[in-house]
Amino acid sequence: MADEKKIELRVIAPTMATDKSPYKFEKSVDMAIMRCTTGDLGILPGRMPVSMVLGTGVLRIFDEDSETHMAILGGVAHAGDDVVTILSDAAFRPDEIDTQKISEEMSELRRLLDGTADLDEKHKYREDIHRMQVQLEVAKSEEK
Amino acid sequence: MPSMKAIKRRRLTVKNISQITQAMNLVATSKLQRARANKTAVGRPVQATFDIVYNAVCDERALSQPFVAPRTVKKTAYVLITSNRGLCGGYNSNVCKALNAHSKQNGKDFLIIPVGTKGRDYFKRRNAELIDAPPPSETPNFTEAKDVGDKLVKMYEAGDIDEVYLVYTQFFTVLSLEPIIRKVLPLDPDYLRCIVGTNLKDGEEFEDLGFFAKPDPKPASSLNQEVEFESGIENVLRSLIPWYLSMYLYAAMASSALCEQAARMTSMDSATKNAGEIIEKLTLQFNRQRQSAITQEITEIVSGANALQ
Repeated sequence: MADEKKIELRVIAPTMATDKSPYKFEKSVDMAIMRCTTGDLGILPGRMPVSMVLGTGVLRIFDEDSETHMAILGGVAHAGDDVVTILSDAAFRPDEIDTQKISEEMSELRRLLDGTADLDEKHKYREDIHRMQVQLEVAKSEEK
Repeated sequence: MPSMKAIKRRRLTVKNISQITQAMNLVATSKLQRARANKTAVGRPVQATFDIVYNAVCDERALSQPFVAPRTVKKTAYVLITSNRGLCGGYNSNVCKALNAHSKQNGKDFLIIPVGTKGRDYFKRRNAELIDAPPPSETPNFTEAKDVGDKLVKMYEAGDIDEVYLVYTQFFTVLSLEPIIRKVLPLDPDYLRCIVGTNLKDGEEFEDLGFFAKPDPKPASSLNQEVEFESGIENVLRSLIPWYLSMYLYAAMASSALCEQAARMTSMDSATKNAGEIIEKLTLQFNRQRQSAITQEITEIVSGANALQ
């Protein structure tokens, strides 16, 4: 990009590796698009301060001409002063996702979903399946 | 006076103990370095989280929100951070005594969430109301802190508790460790401003929690900017508060873990020194007795020989 102004993106997650970097992800990027509870929100440099609740979805990170993805499973984020901080309940990079294991767990959850009549349980299983679908989507985007 | 055999046996025992305390001192020194690195690594995420929470709380609309608006206090919760093991001098008892004194001064009904078995045992003996929390691992991790943080939020929302204090030990230097009690719920924007260290008003000073250094003053353009809340301030705060609590707790756990190793190192060092002094005394006592036994034997031989002549 001709304009060199960037945003500092930082992802904090419970599984963050403190021995290397205190953040799960930290990089200066051109743009980040995240899934909020109210819809997708893109953050560009110079954005006025905004705080938002995150839903389960893919965090799309644009830098130079490349696009990378991360699975964000809920949390909260704040953007201001060209710094975007995401506090995520769980965040996974594509290389951390075990697609085979998730596929197996997903089929097991689908079986449980078909077998239960309890609405609360159905809702919980659907949410879990959605989380797994997001992770698979992120893993597949890396393979392309 | 103890016999020579008894002195010898005691000297051996003290020597064995001094070897153990010396080994524990070395282990604590090595763990101290790891705990120090862990505490330093925690600093930046904690600062980032506190900044976000401060940005949300300094909005006027936040003042009437459940986690910010003060309530009539019927029950106070203390989160007490201690270690799982002893042999670390006054580290555990100091923090427990600080909680005891604070609860008496506060004079309100209270319960304790002990993070660490030493604190739990201390208050179990005194029949205090305890809420069980799993004992933390030696190197605290964020997941453990988040479990306790989520539990606190649920209890606060249910009205089981009306205010939350965090009781932990702050690290200044290896020889200077201080028990600290801080109110974490309901959130006080003025207090938060002091610990975050930005936009301080006249008369307010940055309160160093030891987690991170005072941030550089922000440019005037970034001050007094209105924050937009997607999905409403209530929902944002509801999602942020567990993070604030967990991060505060995580940093306090990291600080306490560092203090535990520092306290163990210091106490094991003085234990080794004391053992050395005892060994010296016992050696002197042993040598005196041996000398007097030899002298007595020579005197007996000489007097025997004289009697024969």
